[in-house]
Amino acid sequence: MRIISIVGLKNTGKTSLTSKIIKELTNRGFKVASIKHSHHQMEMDHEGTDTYKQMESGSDFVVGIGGRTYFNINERLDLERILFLIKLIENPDFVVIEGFKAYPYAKIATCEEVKDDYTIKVVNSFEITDEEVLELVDLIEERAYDILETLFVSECGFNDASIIGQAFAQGKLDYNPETQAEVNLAIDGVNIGLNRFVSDYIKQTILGILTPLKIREYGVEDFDDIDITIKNKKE
Amino acid sequence: MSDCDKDFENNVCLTINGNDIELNKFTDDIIKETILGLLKAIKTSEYGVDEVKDVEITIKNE
Repeated sequence: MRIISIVGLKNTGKTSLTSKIIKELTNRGFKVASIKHSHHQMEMDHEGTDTYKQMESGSDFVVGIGGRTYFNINERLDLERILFLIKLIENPDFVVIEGFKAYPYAKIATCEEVKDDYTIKVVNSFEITDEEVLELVDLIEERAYDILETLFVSECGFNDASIIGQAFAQGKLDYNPETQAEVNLAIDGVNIGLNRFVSDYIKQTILGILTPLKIREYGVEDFDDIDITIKNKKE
Repeated sequence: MSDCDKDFENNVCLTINGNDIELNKFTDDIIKETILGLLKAIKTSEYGVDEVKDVEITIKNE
């Protein structure tokens, strides 16, 4: 999973650029998730619906299931948590974020004012040509990277996740999604970073203890994607 | 569910390739304690986590 955010001041064309990027990534066969960040109160649900009534009655987590599934959580989750949950639920190839300019992920800026060390390109969203969108998406494929805590690179001389992130964003290190962490860990809602050794160790140990389970009875043939949650209640 | 399972509440929730896998008390305990044991060696306090309560792990085995 690789993350790219589109940032810029108000009315600089973030939304239209975001749509173009999502469209092109989808055209290339990638599975895309997207996030809209707003400083305002956001409601996807509206008065009169059954799910709205459930939320109004005091439910903190409302799920609407139909042709699509909606989660409406009465809480502001931070970006790192949302990224972990997206990975857990969908594990898309790309997450496109509109907004969130203070976060340490590869960015496309729609104006010079918001440019920082994570900005991979500043573009004029109103004048960008179709050809330039293709080049921009090439650059996203090259530079965007996964959840900060999951990054590791061997023998690069960097050991701080945000420095590694900046190095990917600036093209100083080559990001290879195939060589990134296979284990994602969160404890009490906080993403925990693992180096390659620890990641491999946890993975192989868990695969070892799961091997004796009769997973075929549940229609499962191989151990491809494993999700585990543990409640460690104190006695 | 048999009578002897009545007091037993799962602490581990396991999904493989999107399928829920049922665990009995023994396997639930083994998986829980093995993983908690592994995690003890990780410096979680650097992330502001002092006590390990809710653990979520995803593994891509490709």
